[in-house]
Amino acid sequence: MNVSEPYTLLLVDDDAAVLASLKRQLRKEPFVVESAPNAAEAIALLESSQPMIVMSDHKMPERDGVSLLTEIKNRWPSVVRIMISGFTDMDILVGAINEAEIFRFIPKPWEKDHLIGILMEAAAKYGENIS
Amino acid sequence: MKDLRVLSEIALNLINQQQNFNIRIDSVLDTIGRHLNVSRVYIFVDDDEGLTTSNAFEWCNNGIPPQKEELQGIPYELIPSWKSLLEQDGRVFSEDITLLPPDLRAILEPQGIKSLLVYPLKMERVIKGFIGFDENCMIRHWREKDLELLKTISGIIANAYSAELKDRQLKDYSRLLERRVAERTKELEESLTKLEQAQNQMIHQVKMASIGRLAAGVAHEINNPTGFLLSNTQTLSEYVTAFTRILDLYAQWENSSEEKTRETIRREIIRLKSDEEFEFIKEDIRSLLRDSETGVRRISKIVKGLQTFAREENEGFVSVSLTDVAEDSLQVVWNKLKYHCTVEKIFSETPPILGNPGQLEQVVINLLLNAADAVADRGRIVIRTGLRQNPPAVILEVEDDGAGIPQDVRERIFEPFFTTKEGDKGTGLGLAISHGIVERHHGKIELESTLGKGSLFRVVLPLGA
Repeated sequence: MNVSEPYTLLLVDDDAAVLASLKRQLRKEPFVVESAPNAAEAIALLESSQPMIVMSDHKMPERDGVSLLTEIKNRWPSVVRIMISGFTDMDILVGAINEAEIFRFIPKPWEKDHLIGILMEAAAKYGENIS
Repeated sequence: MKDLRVLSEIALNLINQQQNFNIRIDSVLDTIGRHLNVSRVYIFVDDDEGLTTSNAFEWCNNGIPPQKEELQGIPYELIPSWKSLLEQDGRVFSEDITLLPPDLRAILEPQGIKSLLVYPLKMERVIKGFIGFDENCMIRHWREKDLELLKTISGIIANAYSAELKDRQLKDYSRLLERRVAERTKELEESLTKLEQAQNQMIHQVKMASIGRLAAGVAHEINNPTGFLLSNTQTLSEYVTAFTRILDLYAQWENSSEEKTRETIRREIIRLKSDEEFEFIKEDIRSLLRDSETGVRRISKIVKGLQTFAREENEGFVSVSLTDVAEDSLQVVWNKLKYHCTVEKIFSETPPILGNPGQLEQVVINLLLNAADAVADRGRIVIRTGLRQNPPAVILEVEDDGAGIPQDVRERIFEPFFTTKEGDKGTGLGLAISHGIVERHHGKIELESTLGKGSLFRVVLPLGA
């Protein structure tokens, strides 16, 4: 099923500067962007309404991204999960792929075109998930 | 010469330790040979197993050919009667050797011997060789007193020879011992070197592992700000393009005199400003630049922290009072602390230690700021200095009544890049660097913490380290 624009996206990162820069980049793209500084607030937002895509950092205090995305996979499986992280540690990648079953991994620093491309693919993936 | 004088001369000669044993024996054989006017006097020494015998010393009278070279390694097998005579009769005595058994005649006759007298050299009751006297010129009738004299002399020589052998054994043994000690020492030194190499390798591996972890941590810490810096730069470029387009239109508008054109340009400006969300980017550009500056500073701080972390030399060590360090540190952070916590100072006189005041101050500031973070809004921090005995050390404590530190955090708290602080608030290097600094001062940081009650960090710096 084709979903129509704008696509809804939730960004999770404990670094406010990262969130701000991502929002700037997506300003003129077909995305409605919300953000959360940690896993708990992200879950709270998801409980009221689910975006099509969640893109989360891994290393955050209290609860990491793999754990958050795993919960999202279990509770809202159609939400497409993306991890964005400066950590390219093998264990984290393995956890992200095997446990959270993420759609894509974006290493930091990222390129805008690459990021937008992946988000567009993720929106299409969401269409597949709900059909 | 009288027999007695000969005997004393021989005895004196033999006990003369100044001279080499071989020379002494040669001289003794010479004395006997001349005294008795025989053809040859000689000493044979058996091999260790007693299977062969060799001529070791020989004295020959004028005109008598030496036999020493010929008579080396003679197997007793060839002369079975020889040893049995020496053992049974205590000598081989023959005034006319043609009367001796054929095995002996076969070896004695080619030497031109006519008469002979041989006494065994016994060492600890075992025959180790013999001393002999040959007469080649005639059938000699030995006088009884000559036999007695020669028997005595044989005994004396046997004793001297035995002593010499023991001395040589002792010297050999001591040389062997020295060699073994040297070998063992070398072996020990080698294994010590190997051990040191293995230890160095292990230290290197541990270092490399921690550098690996450090590098992973650095990568993450630097990738985060690099991520938003790169993103912001790209965005900034878009903003600049928008600004330029709008400014170009303004320039056109200024340069245009025709009212209709000016109106068209004005509308174009309004449309573009709306499309580009001009009001938003005008505001956002400030926060973009602010974020970017912070990002650069964060990276710079991490790199600087790493440099401090990696520095090992004890540069700038001077005599310093820990209490002074505490006082100075408190002044530095006072403005940050005063609004949300009370600070109690309990300072004692502390004897000076050798250290780097700047680095120690960094440690104390770090502990104070951590304590301030731990007490959140309103809390109490106690900073204490004092002395500890056995072993003597100066101590500095920073205690807070904050939330306390859970066990899993306590285990990793000194790891580089380990932080529980949000986002850009902590680099995770503070306590790792502090730990490194205190280690360089040969001290340690102790941590006591109770959940819900607070934490106490104690820097212990040994006196005289």
